[in-house]
Amino acid sequence: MMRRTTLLHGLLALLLLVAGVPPASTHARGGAKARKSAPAFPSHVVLVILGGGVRPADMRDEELMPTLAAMAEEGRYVTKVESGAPDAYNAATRILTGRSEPIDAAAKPRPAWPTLPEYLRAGRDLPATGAWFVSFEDGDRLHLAHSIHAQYGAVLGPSVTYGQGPFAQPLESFLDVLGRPLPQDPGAWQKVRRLRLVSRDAVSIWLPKTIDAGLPRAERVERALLKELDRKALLNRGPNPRDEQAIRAALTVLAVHRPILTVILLGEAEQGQASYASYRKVLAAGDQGLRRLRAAVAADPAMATTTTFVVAAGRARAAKPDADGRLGEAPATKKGREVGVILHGPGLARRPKLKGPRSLADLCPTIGHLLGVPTPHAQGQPWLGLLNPR
Amino acid sequence: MRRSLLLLTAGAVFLAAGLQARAGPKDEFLPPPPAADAAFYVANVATWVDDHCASCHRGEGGGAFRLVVPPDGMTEAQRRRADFDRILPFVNRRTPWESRIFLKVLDPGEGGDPHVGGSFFSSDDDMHDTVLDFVSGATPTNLPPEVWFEKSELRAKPKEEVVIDGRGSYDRDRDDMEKLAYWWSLYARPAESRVIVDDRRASRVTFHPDTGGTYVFTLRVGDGKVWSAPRAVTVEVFASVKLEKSDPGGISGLEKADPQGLKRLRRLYLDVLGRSPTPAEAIAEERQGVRALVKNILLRAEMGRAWVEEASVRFGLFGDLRPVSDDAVDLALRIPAENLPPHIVERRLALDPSFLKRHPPGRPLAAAIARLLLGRAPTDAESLAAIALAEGQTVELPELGTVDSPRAWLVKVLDSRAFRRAAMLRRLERFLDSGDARKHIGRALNAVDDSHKSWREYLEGLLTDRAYLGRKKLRPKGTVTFLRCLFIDLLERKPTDREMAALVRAVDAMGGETAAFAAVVRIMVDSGHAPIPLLVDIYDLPRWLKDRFLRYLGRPPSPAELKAYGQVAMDPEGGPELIIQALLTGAEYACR
Repeated sequence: MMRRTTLLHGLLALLLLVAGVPPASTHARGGAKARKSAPAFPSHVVLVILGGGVRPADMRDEELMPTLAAMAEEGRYVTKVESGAPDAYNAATRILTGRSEPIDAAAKPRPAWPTLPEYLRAGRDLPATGAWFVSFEDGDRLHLAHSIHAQYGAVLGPSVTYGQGPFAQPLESFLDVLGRPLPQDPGAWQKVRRLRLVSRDAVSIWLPKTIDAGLPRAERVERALLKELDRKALLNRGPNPRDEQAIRAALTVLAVHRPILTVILLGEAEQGQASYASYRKVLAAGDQGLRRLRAAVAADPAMATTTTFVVAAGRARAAKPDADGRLGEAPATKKGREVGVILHGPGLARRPKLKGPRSLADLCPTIGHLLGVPTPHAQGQPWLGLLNPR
Repeated sequence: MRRSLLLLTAGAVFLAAGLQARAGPKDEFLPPPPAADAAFYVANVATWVDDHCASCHRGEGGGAFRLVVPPDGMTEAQRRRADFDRILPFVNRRTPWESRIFLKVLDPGEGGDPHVGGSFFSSDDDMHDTVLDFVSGATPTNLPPEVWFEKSELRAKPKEEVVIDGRGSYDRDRDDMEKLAYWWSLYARPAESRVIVDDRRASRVTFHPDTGGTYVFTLRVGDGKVWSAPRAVTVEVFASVKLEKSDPGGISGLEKADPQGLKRLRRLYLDVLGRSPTPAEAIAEERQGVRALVKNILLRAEMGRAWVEEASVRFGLFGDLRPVSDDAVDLALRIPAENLPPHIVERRLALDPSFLKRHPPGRPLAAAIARLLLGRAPTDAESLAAIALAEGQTVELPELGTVDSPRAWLVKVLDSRAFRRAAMLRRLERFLDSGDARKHIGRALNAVDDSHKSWREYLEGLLTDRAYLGRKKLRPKGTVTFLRCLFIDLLERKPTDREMAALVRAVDAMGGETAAFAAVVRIMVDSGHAPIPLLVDIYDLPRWLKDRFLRYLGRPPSPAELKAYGQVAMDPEGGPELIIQALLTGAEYACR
């Protein structure tokens, strides 16, 4: 019965391909079933760290976080992942380095052991733009991007962005003087495109091949950059302004660089400490951001079928709000230390068998396995039962 | 108020003169400008530093600027004195207004540098003046005098009388204005000129330029106690350049220019000066003979500035890491004056302390030496040697012999024949395709070996060659040239070095994508600073369109282009803004 269904799905995908209609999603419901045409491993990984502390159940709440719940449903939702991190900084360090030694979070030091982006750049000999670290907060929080390890360190660190984004940030003083551009109408884009192509045709034989101005690829990037810059970008009054900035920066990074690894560190769920209502608003808005990230990836032919999302909560939270309406820290029980992780995209085994204890430190080698790079100093174990074998 | 004007003037110098304004005179007759004073710091600045800088910069973090973490037993006075020592490297004695400690906290709108901690004052604030006094060498008993010019860039014709007035200079104490003493220097002049300063001690100088080119005068003023840092005035002398600007929103008159002459002029401007000519320059110069034109352009200080700016950006020496050594900051003026060849230009930049900060010992230095200086990928042996050198070991390198420090390695590479060849190749590739540049390199190196003068003659020959001037194939403009062109074509001015640094950083973050340039165009078009006419102000649309094509692309539009652009211009959802956006974000504009 199972085999017949797979066959039918395969035939349907083939028919759609012949008809020139792209399949709705290679990871559609029961993604493993339709994965015949999907690559065995992803070319890109987007790692989203929900650093502010999220209850595992909220990640599958279809009303609160419909995008994440759908990803959990279509991909893999890994439960009972031991976090044990006393704070968000420790949790993110564990995820990125694959090691669980406690660190003094107040000092926010650079990790002592190599981070995932460093492993990736070393293993694949990538330029800095091959891996990005996008953070909701600047300052010392950016220390998480790379370690002080002698064999890795800054030389192999990823490109880093935060706040207004990788393009707008260095332009801040320039924008202060000249102002931000107005959002451009779709109709205007059409006209500009036409004019550029007419002029390109007039001199096409003399143009160098490297100049892509006026071509669709350049326009896609240009639109992403202008979205980051335009006057609408200043209207950021949602419940999670810093997370929202990080997501917008990540959208630019994905559109422009198509990085092999994009680490997005969010943290506004921390608002749960003050108010349960705020916490829910932050999660709902974060889910919207996640939806936009997925849509951007799906719209890019070079990434649509080759990108795996990994969404991990750094810490859990108390199961219920207290009498003051605050959703405090999770209790120090075994259950209170557990968080959820969602994996979605190519590279996941058809029949998952994940047994034994698992921890946040496993994520570094797990993503290393997905991207085919060794993570020699990580102490965690890759979730091989969940992944396609290499 | 006067201080604000002074800073605006300094900004204008940068605006027009790029790196040149940082190049002060080496005047052997006067004492150097006063150094920053510890007592003044403790009395007037220390509290402010404690309040504004210490939270991020005391101890770890906060970049290269780190204040002292006081050990047990250190008194408050000792701690402040120790902080002063930490601040000193961020004070620029020769150009105090360029000191990093000052620029980092100054409002970016007034020329301040980007600062994670934000800006802390603008020129209206008292602290602005106090910090400026401090970096200028004020003491508790004396504030140093300051040079002030109404215009820091002048233009003139040969033989015409030029007056440079320094009488606006003043003493910060304002108590002994009568005693102000002046000291003028002729810092740079064209190689053929015999101009001298008649009276170095006068409050203003008058001279008659005897030949075309760039003259740079510097002035220092003394209050009887100290002599100020020098400021420069540049005088560009050309026979036929129209001095007034045309109306950038209207018709420039380029339609009357000879198409071949215009094309030739644009090529020379784009390749040598790294920017497009303004319509006024194009109209004035397109009919000049090629030889005279090439000679004229190669003599300009702007040629040196453009070269140094592009090489600095290539080496990553901009923003906080801009060149600081005397040799490097003087370079832009010395290139045209002394006919400096490529290996000397790049050598002076690479030996600047900022180079080793930008490319620290270890793998980054190995990569920089190989890729930026020698034009190839680093070998494994070089990477390993770089790590060993960074750890203080001595290494043996092929062709270079024994090397005992990262700097020694850098010096040996800069002395090598391989670097000389690579630097020459890079310069030739500014004008020629890679293949042609390789064909020319032997002759070019011979010319340099002969003398600096023969290098100039060789370059003049190359740029007047028909093969060069008649080339049809387009080549990418590159980041710096593209950005300069945008400023000239849209805002009718050159970018300041801070604007350039911000834009280069932004474009770099986008991996040099042409789309990043397109986004910058959009910012400028929407800024309101670019004079773009309304449709109702354009009386003859086809003529206006032709003018814009000539101005931005150096050619008239094809019939198909005229039709398409005309339709969009007339469209209620289109208009002149969209025309300009399309022209400046097209593939052809990205090329030269």
